[in-house]
Amino acid sequence: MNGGTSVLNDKPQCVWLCSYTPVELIHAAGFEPIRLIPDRAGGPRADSLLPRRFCTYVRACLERRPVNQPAMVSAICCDSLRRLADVAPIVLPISLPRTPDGQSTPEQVTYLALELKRTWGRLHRLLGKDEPSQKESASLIRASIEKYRRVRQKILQIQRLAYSGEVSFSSAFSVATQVLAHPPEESSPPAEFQGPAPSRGKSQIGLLLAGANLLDGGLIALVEEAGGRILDVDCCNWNRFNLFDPAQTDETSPPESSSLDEVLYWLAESYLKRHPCPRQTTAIHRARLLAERARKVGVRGVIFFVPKFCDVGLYEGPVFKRYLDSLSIPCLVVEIDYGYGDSGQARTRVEAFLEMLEAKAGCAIACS
Amino acid sequence: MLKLHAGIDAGSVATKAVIIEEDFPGTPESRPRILTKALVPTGADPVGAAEKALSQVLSQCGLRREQLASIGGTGYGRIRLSGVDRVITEITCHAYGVHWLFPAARTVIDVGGQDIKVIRTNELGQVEDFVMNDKCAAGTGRFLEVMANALGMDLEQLARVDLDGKAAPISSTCTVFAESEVISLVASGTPTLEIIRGLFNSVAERIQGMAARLIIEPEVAMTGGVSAIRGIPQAIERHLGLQVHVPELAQFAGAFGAALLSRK
Repeated sequence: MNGGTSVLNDKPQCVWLCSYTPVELIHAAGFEPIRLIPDRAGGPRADSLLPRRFCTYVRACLERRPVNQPAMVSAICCDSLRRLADVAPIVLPISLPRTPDGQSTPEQVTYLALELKRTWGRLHRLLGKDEPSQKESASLIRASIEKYRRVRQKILQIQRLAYSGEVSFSSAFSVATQVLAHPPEESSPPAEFQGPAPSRGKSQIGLLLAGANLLDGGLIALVEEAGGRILDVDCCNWNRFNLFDPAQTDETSPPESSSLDEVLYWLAESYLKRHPCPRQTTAIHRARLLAERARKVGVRGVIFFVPKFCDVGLYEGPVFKRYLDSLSIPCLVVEIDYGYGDSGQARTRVEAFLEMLEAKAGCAIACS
Repeated sequence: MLKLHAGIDAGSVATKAVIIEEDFPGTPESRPRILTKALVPTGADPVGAAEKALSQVLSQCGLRREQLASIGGTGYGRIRLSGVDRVITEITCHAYGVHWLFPAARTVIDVGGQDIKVIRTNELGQVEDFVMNDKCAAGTGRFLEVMANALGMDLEQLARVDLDGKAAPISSTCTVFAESEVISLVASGTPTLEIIRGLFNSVAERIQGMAARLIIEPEVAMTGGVSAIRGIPQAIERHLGLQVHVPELAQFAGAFGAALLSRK
């Protein structure tokens, strides 16, 4: 890729952020969607538009935005992304209805479908193209849905390798994240899986990791290196990228319809059916879902990573901790600077949490 | 049989080392006690400081390294220590060290050079829950050092100030913002003692906020270098409404815990 276009087909690239962003639409409109994976925190570019005490992930995205990209598209899943769209007019925002109890109503789906239709038009205006006919639009979007269904299945296969213990979660994360960072036309990036996480001589403590996003793969590696055995993960670039919960719902296909409205309704419904992110529901609802996951896989503790100054994560953290504590599921909330996951303080907290869980199990630190 | 163990706490400001002896190891009669201790500045070389501190305690006891049954390492520099038998986080070590220094403790507040930890412990000295500051140095030893500099003092002078008396309000615990406030207070002619008491209260407020995330149980013990600044435990007492005990050798609790846990 070079200068904001793909070497494969000269399509302009378009960076997307939140995992509620309908990549299918961006792709069908003629862009090559690429998830922005910032590799370090904000700097002078971010400073010029956003305060320093601001979501470190959003600041990092602004800092690392490729200069040649014509557009960034993001579902507005939090106040920080809303503010990013305010200060960076290149961001095309997509408003989402909130589903506090985790169930979307037909009215909410209709609202999002209309928002997707508006987005479809805006994407074409960005490209300087006329919007195709409704029939052609429906056909293009259905084709992109199929393309991204294969991408999501590829990621699901990668996830299954981690769940089965064949590869470490950190390497599965790394490969899955690279899949997201490439357009769907490209061949898969080389899968450089590493084997299962080494035990490093410590007793392996089963953990559930959660976070707004865990794009900073160093955090996953940090937990594994500290002796944690990851049994499940809940974050937007892992389970929440799936448009359906593979354990609960059969995957469905878009309607074989030439109606653009019907195809967009199906797409909107699929996004709203996903495992909810912090923005979509209440903290207590998410805490209950997290506890269900924790019990299902039998973890001994939950680590919740919150990017520094992440508004939704910082509200969720205390709710999660109180709720999980009440169920005797130990929970550690770790605030992190984006791109600096492997900081001394984060390492100390994770290691101390594991030592605490070991001691609770009486397997390592038996006090005399 | 008498066994000797060493513990090294490679902290951000000071590196502490202890040698402990233990009669009747592994039995209920075991009463480990600190034989000797050393404290050296860490500077930019935690590994060198650890070696120096260990050499000092060995030399004070006329011992060779081989005569130690085990060595435990802790502190922010723990991952770089070589020749230690066990590496444990300072959270676990402080909890366990305090258990032996002050067995009634169920809450440990450790304030060091760059970290604040509030730890809830059980009757065995095991960690039940904890909170720790992130990278922000507000309320830590570094914060107090910066403030002391702004006042033209050193930490030893700060340590002698008592909390009783009027305190200036200092609204921010951010090191940078608080320094600006202190400079403004100095410029406005606020007496130095009032400013210092205001700083003590701002540190205590930060700790109170962290402690509120845990269920705090008495007795409360304080460790770390900042525990030697007597106005700080006094201010924490007032903010928490609980007595705060500063055990003898509080600054060595982490190294003591590391030595004790190295026996396992």
